[in-house]
Amino acid sequence: MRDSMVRPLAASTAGDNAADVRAAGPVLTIRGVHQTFTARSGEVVEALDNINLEIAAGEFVAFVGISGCGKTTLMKIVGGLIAPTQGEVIYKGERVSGPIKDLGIVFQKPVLLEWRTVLRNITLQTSMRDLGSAAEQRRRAQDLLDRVGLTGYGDRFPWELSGGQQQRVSLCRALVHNPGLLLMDEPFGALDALTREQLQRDLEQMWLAQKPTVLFVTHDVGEAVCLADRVVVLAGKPGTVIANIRIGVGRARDADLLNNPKLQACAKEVRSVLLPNEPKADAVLTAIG
Amino acid sequence: MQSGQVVAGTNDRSRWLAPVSTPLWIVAYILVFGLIWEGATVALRPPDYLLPPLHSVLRYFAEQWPMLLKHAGVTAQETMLGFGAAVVGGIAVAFILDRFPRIAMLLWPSVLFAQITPKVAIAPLLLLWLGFGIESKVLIAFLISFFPILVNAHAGFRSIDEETAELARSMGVRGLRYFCRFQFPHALPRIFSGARIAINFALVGAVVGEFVGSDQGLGNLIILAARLLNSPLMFCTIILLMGMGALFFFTVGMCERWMIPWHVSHRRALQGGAARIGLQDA
Repeated sequence: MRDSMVRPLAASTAGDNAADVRAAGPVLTIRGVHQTFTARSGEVVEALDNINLEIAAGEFVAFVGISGCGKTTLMKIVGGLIAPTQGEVIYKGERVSGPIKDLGIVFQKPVLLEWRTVLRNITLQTSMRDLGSAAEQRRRAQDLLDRVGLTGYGDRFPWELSGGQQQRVSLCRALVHNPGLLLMDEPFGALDALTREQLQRDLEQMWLAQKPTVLFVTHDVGEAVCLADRVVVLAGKPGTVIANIRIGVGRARDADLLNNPKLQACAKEVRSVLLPNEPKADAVLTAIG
Repeated sequence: MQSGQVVAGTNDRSRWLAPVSTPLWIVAYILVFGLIWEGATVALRPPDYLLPPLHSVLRYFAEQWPMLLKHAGVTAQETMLGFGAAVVGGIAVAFILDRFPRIAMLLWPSVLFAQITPKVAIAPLLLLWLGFGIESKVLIAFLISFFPILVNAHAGFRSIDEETAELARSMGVRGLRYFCRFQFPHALPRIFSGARIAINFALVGAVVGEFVGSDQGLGNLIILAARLLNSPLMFCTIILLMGMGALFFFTVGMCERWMIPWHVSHRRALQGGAARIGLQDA
């Protein structure tokens, strides 16, 4: 089943994945979602307009768009943290009406509790969900820490770690309970370029090991194509899906945009959808490549 | 050249004070102050009822300490009971104000009303209502120290950021569990800021209550000393009150460092930072 999704396909635009998803059966269906907010001034702001998406189990989907197009809002609606104004989200056959049970979430900031040690920040997830004995929870957290290269940091406090290390801890916390759905809201946006690349590699490895369904919000096109099976491009105010681009490049990609022409081609395509008026996206990319 | 010397040389203040530990510094400070007092009174000979020499105050204390400490114990008890009630009550009311908006609407006006009423002004009334025992003093101490704790706890509960709240919801944490595991620890540093102010307010409240009417406690002794022009008694009482205030303040500070060693204000100590000068470090 899963092969049909991972099978390399030529990059294609919206709509083409329907048959593909039907084969696996979508784990997540977003149907006719509209979202409006009432600003403090009383003005009604439309954030999202008629979003329809189907996402397969274990699929890594990146949402790309200019700031303010409603990417984050959409992600929170999917997780059940916000109720949509109209439309519905179906997860594992059930209509989402509150926070999803097997949800993991990573924010742009690490959001670690400063009064808990690194290890206890990770086990917070499992202890709040009453998963396993305390020793078992600690062992799982320790395993993940080892995997992101933070062996021996368990007893430190978050503020004794660098920003990149903190974000790794936050990633461990989001994965320690083996979530079915992982939401990531510009998780590497605040990190320096080298740390970001390392974390992208770590994330890909951990995703390959656990295979949760991932919704990854970013405004970095390179990051989106390096990580995702599919890039959903949102644009406009209110935000709508303007493209659905499959990234048919094999794993593990190791976040290696510079040396991978296939990824570069995908990045160009995403850019051309995202910035249609830009003179020539190619020029920028070839200059970098 | 050793790196330690370089570091010490970069900060003149830490260099010349660094060898003196803070408790030692305070003892030295008090000794110098006492010497000036003693020297000035012996040299200038002001009337005893205005300013007695230090040695006669100390002699009075040496003779009368069981009586003095007994009264101090009463005042301490009133202060601690009032303060304890304010901590519990302040946190509880802050919790209700934060969690139940409807009840909050009913509660806020009366809380504000209690705050804008000058507690010292209503002390005689409270004594009429509750009698001359310790109950009235505990109540005044409570009323006067309640508000700083309430305001700080409430601000602490509200100041939890949106992402942390969402994280909790993503874990399915709600209700009392959210309060205990997320809100309360987050608010603790602020609650302690309130408690540091409140503990000395509570002592003032207890003494004011004793001024108005009582047959025991340090406030009662001050009134008595003033009537009898007994200045050694007066000064003994004032010094005891100061010592008690310091003791309470440091105890709250110690609890704070014990309970929230992770907070920004204590991190340097946790990381083994350089010696610092300041009251909190005694």
